[in-house]
Order: sequence, then C-alpha cells, then structure tokens
Amino acid sequence: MDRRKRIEPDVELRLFILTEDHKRDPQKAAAGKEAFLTNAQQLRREMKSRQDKRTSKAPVNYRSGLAKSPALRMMLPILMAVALVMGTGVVTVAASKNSQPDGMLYGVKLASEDMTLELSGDSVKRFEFASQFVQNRSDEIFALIEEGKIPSDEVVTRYQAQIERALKMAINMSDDEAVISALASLQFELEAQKNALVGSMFVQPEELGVVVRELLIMVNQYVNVCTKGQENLAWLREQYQPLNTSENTVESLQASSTPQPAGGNNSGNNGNPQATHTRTPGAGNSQGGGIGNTKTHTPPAWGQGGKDTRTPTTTPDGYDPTATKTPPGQGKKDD
Amino acid sequence: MVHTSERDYLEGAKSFDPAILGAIYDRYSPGIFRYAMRLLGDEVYAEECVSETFSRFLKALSLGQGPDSHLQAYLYRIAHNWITDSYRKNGPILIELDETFPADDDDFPEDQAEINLQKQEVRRALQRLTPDQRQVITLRFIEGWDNKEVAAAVGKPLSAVKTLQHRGLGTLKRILRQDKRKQTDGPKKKNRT
Repeated sequence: MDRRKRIEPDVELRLFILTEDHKRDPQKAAAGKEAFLTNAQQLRREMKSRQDKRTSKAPVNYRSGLAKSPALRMMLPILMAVALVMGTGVVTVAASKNSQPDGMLYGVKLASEDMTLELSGDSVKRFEFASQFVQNRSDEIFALIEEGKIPSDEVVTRYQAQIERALKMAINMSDDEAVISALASLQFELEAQKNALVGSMFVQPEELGVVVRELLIMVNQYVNVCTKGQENLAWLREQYQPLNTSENTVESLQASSTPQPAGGNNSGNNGNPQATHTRTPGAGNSQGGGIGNTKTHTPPAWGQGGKDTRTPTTTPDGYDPTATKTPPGQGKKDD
Repeated sequence: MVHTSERDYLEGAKSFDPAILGAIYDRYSPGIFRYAMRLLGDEVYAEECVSETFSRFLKALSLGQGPDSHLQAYLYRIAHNWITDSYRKNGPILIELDETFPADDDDFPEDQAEINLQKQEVRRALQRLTPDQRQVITLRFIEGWDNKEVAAAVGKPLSAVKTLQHRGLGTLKRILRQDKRKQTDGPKKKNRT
C-alpha cells in the first residue's frame, strides 16, 4: 500500500500482526448498546426536567424580601442612609458583608450593594462596583458548592441578573473605548469564574454537578457575549439596552421593563421585570440546557451554547470529554 | 454521501434522538472495540473502553458540546485517551496466553503462542511511544486511516501528524530492535553460565 511505502518491512510486519479483526461478542454489544441508550434517555430526561422545573416556577424575585414592597423600595435609600448614620447601621452593614444567601443579614448586604451603586458618582465607578458584586454572587455560589449544597434557582438567577447588570453598566460608559475596556475586564472576571466552575464540574452529589455544569454553560455564554460585544458594540447595544440614569440599581431594573424584541418568548412575565431583561443562555435556540427563566429572550447569536468550531475534540466551555484524566506529569511528553 | 450522513448523525445526536444514537452506536462501536482490542489485547478492557467512550460522548452532548464534524475521529480520540489513561494507571496489560488464543484445530498451539508473544511485544513497544505518536501510528498503520483522517482525530495539522509519524516509526523501530537483541542475547548468556 502507498501509505506503507515509508515503513521498513520489518516494522510493517510487526505492526501488521495487530491488524487481526477482533469480532465483538454480539450479546455484549447488545448489552452495551442498551446501556448507552438508557444513559442517553436518563440524560435527556434530566435536562428536560431541569428546564421544565425552571419554566414552571414562578419568576424569582431578584431581591430579598426587604425590598419587595414598592413603598419599601422607595424608602430604602432613606432607610439605608439613616441606618448608616446610626452606629448600629454601620455595624449591621459591616457584619452583613460576609453573609450568605440563607443568612439573616443577606438582605442588608444586597441593599447596601444597591446603595453603594446609588451613591457612586460616575459610570466607571458604578461598573467597578457592579463587577465586584458579580464576584460576590460567584463567591456565594462557590461557598455553597464547597459545602456540598445545591445553589437554589433564586441564587443562580441572582448571579445571572448581577452579570446582566454589570453588562448594562458597561454599556453605560461614556465612550466606546471605555465600554470595550469594561467588557474586557468583565470577560476576564467571568473567565476566572468559568475556570473555577470547570474544576467543580464533577463534584458530588451528581445533582450538584449538574447545576455546576449548567452554571458553566451560562457563564461561558456571557463570556461569549463579552467577546462578541468587544468586536461588535452595535450588536451588544441592540441586545442590551443601556440603563437610564435612574436605573442604576437592581430595584430600578425590577421596576422598569424593557420591551422584548419581536418574536421573543417573554409574554406573561409580569412578576419579575428583572427577568424580562434576562437573556437565558442555553435556552431558546440553544442546546445548552439553560439556567434561568426560560421565558426570557435568548439572543439569536447565542445559538448552540458556544460550541467549538475547532475539530474535533476540545470544547470552548473548558470541558474536553476526550481528555485524559491522568495528571499530565505522569505521562510522557508529546513531541 | 458519508458527510451528509454524518451531519444527520450529529444533528440527531444533539437532540438525543434514540434512533440516531442507536445508529451511531451500531456504526462506530465495532470499530472502537476493534481498536481497543488491538491496543489492549483484552476483551474486558476493550468493552470498558467502548462503554466509557460513548458515555463521555453523551456527557458532552448533554452539555451542549460534542463535535460539529468528524464524529468518528472524535470518538476514536476519546477511546485513545481512555486507553492512554489505562496504560498509565495499570501499566502494561499482561494477558494469559490461553485466554487470548483459545485452542483452534487449524493452528498449532506453539504458533499461536509465538504470535501472541509478538503481539505483546508490539503493544509494549507502542506503549513506549508518546500518546500522540502512538495514536498516529495506530490509526495510520493498523487501522489504515489516511493522514487527513488521522489529523482530525489527533486534532493537529497535517504537518504535525507527519512529524509524529516519522518520529514514532523511528522510535518504534529502535524499540523493537532492542527487544529483539535482548531476546537473542538472553539465552546466550544463560548458556555461558
């Protein structure tokens, strides 16, 4: 054969000895196929049930109970200011910094974050704070993962909404250069979070692993948005309406409602205006499984969940199912 | 024709269509099994390799990932990496002669034993190559793939595949010669003592 011209006959003969055709036991092949299809069915059910679960749930309010009432929302800045003036307020806010989503002071933590944004003068500062709060939400999720707890839908949605808010803050920057710089910064941060999620992909219990993998897909989608946004600001602005000056806080995002693009599947979501802003990576056109409210709109460009265009093995989300599991140091180095 | 068919497979697989997934299994699992058998020489390991390959494929699909093309190359790469892991974890797989070559009326047992020993030698020699070299040599000269197909499976450009092939063959030749020398030297030393 032509391809064997370059091999020495001895080596060719030695290799040829392995070319014997091994026939597989038909019973084992059938059992293997059955196991494969059962596994596929389970995974399909798992994906579908998680999507259904999220769709059927009432829209999750982004904010804690503290800010649910419109009257309270209006009063919140005043109340916070009063609390800040009083020593106890300072102590409470300081103590709330490390509180977790299930903690007593978590509402205070969120409210103080909103206040911080409210009081920030310029758009750069506001973006920096919003970006820091994305990190806070991520830290909260990782604290839960480390404890083996499954982050609730509310926690996940809050994380997603925080990313969206940071994106909008980025768009709010004064000039294009500043927007691109902010997007690059957010992308960097999200990539770090994505890498951390990759490290927890196969955490136990399995249900937690599933949530982590869905989070990974979601974060990767936002990384892609940041990447694409830097290349095409017009596209980004079309997807994410810049905030009005009065929309710097999550409260105002909740109170306002951005009209959805034609063809969006967002009807009837009156309870959670924040969710109407929320694009859902992995839902809509995507095959990516999706986290978040599936009633929300998925930008068409998000498509297939950030699939890899390289052939054929690695994946953009950092998960390479073809990868070897043994630490590299134990193997030989490739040429 | 094949390309269209593969595209159908990939689209069906991504939507977890059971009929398509079943067809993919029927089409590719015999080759993966044969590949694993050739490298591992053990049916149990080869079955495990097939199972793990298709399981990883499903997991990738469930994450919205998986290949956009070259499905066969993708599956072989998963299998190859599983085999590499298996080598690292378990070391060389030693197979009982009786298990590998059941008695056959048409062959002489001593011939079977000799063939089996030679196979083991070649497998051991292949294990001493780097994973990429091993994959290139195996796919090219044992499975009979062309360079383009091999490049798709290895995920490297054609030029890199050719280099891997050249170096791999050189190393393999050296290893096999050394082994042969050891075999011929061994009995002589015994005779002297």
